[in-house]
Amino acid sequence: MGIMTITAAPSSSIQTPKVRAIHRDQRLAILLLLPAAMTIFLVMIVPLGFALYASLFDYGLGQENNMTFVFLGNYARFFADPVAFRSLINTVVFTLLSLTLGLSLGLGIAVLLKRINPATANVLRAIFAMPLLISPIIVGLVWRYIYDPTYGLAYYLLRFVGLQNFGGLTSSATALLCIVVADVWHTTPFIILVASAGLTMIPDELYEAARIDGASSFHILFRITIPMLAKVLTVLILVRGTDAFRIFDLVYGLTGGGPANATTSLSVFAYKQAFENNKMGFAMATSVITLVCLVVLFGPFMRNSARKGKDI
Amino acid sequence: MKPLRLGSIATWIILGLFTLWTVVPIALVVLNSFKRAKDIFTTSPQLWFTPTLVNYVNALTKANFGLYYCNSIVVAVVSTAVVIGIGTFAAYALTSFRLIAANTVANGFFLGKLVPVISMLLPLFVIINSLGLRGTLAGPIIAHVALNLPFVVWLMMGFLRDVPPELQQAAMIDGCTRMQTFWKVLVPVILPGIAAASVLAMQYSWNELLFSLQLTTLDTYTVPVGIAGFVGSISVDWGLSSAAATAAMIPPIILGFFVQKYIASGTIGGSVKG
Amino acid sequence: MLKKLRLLFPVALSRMLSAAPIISSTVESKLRRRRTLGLTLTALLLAWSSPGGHAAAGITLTVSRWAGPQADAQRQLLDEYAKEAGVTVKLDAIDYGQLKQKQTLNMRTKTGEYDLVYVPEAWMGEYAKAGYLTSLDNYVTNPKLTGDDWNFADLAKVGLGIYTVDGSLLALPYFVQTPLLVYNQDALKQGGFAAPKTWADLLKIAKYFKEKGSGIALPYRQGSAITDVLAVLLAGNGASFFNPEGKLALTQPAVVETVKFMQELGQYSLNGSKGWHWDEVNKALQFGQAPMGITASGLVKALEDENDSNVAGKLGYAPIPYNKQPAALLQSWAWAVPADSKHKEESFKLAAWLTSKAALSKMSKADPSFISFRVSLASDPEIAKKAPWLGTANQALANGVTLPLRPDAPELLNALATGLSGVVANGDDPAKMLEGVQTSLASKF
Repeated sequence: MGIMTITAAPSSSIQTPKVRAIHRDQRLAILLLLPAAMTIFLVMIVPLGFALYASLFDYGLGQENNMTFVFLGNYARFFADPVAFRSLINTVVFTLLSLTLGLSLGLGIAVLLKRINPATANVLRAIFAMPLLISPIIVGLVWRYIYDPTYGLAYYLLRFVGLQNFGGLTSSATALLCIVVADVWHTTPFIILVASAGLTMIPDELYEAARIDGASSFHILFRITIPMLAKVLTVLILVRGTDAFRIFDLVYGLTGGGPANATTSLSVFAYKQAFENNKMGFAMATSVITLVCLVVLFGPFMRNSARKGKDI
Repeated sequence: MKPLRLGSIATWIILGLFTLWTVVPIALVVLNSFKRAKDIFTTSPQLWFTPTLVNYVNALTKANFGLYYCNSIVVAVVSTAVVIGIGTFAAYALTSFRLIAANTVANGFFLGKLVPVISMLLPLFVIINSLGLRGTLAGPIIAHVALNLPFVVWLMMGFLRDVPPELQQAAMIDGCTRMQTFWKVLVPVILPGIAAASVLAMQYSWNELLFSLQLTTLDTYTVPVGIAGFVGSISVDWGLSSAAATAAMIPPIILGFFVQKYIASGTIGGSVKG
Repeated sequence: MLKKLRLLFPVALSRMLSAAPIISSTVESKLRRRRTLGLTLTALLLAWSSPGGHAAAGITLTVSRWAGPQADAQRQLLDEYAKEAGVTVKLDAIDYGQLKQKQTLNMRTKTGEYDLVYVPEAWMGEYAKAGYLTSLDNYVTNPKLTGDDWNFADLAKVGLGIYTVDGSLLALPYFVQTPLLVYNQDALKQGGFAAPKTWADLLKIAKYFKEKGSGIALPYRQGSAITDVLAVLLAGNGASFFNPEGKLALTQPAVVETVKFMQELGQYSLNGSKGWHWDEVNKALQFGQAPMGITASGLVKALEDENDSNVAGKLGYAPIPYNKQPAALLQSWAWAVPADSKHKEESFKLAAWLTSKAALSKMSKADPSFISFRVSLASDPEIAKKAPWLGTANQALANGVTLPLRPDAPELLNALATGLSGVVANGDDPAKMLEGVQTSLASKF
């Protein structure tokens, strides 16, 4: 790493001996932080508080004046409900599958794109970004069309390989997998874009030095690329993971949660409770439970990247 | 070196397959937009058919698509500009200053992302209504800024942390203030990240349905609202919704192409020389 | 206060941004331009975002309903009314999936946005309990609002009954929908069959088609369609979800028999039926893949569309086959006036006009799938010409049952939809499934 030697001042802090300068710094930081923090607080944290509160009641949409206090009744109901449990399992399975497939595919493609000439890479990357740019409603529609046994492209191709009895979306065993495929199609662009940006920020000199030293492609991938991407990877896992966990549009559009609740995710379950069964309190409790699961599952990743920023 | 040659063929094959996989569903939507319903619902895919523009004509006349387009553009551009602006500032504040509660605040942003959307709807509606902004574009803009903020902040924090601190130190030694360091040194370096975040934020706003529909009225509906109207409850007008979707795809795709060179342009390689 | 904020905001923003150095690189200038653009736009927007900006020269009525071909036909009607009555009428037709939320949000917060709302029987209980709707009792007897030849008595009693809550009429019944059987007449003749009337007939024909490679198209996706089918078949079997005392009784032999029949019929269903809602079934009929199917009457207009259907003129329409007695399912939509509307009388005038014989007849002619609640139109020859299903649909009016409307009914229907999906897709045992639903929900009824 001889390239990056700069005669820098001692790393503790810039020579601003006056405390006033530090305070000015802090004030600037707070000013910079304020708009974002306030927005999040008002639009998201406050409703979260309300959701926690509301989950202790039983009421219908629009009936906030007629809430019946049930304390932890909604939560007890969740854990006693086999459908709720099923939706939890479905959600976890879905998230794991979608995340693993998406990350491997997305990272792989991003790395491959670095190896070809930049002009083509840019065009290809723009093409690969397209699925993300399509409205989720349409994504659901077109994949429903593709998966239709009578009209769909998927079955047309399957007929050539003799697999026309594939369960697809109508079999409890395979429906979730089909939705994962559609989701990977829809969200891999996100991973490719972010990973590409991250890869760009790795200095070329590192690669050159490694190649001069005779490292193989695999070596480069695992010793240089992935560690340098560590922070970006963490963000990707966090963002994609939490999004996958809360999947709704795709599931609702493709199967409505069926067949026989084989694909109902936690958000579909909450939606049905809220808007079909008219049990808002229960839906809020489900959402709170979803949030707790998310914090438990993805919290560790947060702690990893929450190391204090380096002193400047 | 022979191994490299083989590797590059494999690379091209994989990229080729992936391109096919990416493009085919989109091609389906575009093709369907030029077909009558008869030609869409056939038991084997039809590549040859008599194209028709009737779907596009209907999309323009049945719903006020021109207006929706303009509204969508305003909402997407403004909300993206705002969210990238305040998000990057916040990320800068959280990573490069020694703020005491930085961790808690950063985690608070993340928590915001996990909030169930159904619980956000009523409070936001009430707030927007009492501010007198119901039915204007300010509603969706605020909602989109809030929805995009967590991931923008976290993304920018990730990118900012990847920047070697020596860069900032060097700038400050040279006499730059904090904000000058930000604009002159950091922004060019994390430009790929900003570009990526902008595309992602804009596409999210462009395609967002719930708040764009609930917080607005007839004059301020956006493109997704129009598309959803064609996807009915018990009947879907495939030709019409495909046409609307195709028309809706174009601005984000153009933006995607435009922004690629920023994502791929690295300046860090050159900025840190011994 | 708001004005002050509007002025302060750009100032604060520019203060923050003014720390930027003198422009040197193209990149920075691009950013600068983008920033300025964003600033200007934001400022413009905040300045422009004045709500209620249109100076109301006359009265403007806003109507809320779901979008689709029916809404398009309605728009024309509303334009006619607007010209006649000298008011402005805006039609806010949105995605059905978001309709209830938007109506509820507005009525609950009393924004006064909507003057007329389109309500199905399923939402009436909620809306009534929350006090969202105005009682129409005084309006329907006021000839100044209804017009002299409105003829209230002509509206089917069953419809009025559905929309009367606690003795007070809360909505004017407008649109009838019912599931019905559609079949390709040539295909049936080829097999030597007549239109099926009983379950046994239906099974025979479906099996015949399945053996020939197609099958009957059924809306067996996990959702509302499959429970609609269950409801009408139950009624045709002389049973209901509840016993005569009003308690949930899903383990009655008649109910088990019905579900078993659905399972058997499902074995002869067209490939993919297990994931189909009404729309896909209709499309299968429309484009000729299905020789027979159960579809919703609101969709059948597409089947007879000469431009778009492969089977226009070749189809026959019949009631859903029964086991013990003929039956039909009645689903409906009605017009209600929200309690927070600022123009209640004007809106009722519009609602009355919409439900007048002339307007309904125009609507049925523009969209033949549209069946109204007016008894006198049930045998109108002109409408019947365009709507071969008219007779079948009228049976629903005459002796149709509705889905249960009690407060916890949606939960029951959802649980049944899930159970039915398991029965038809995974081959679950009907009796066990019904027992399961019965035990988990019996306490609520």
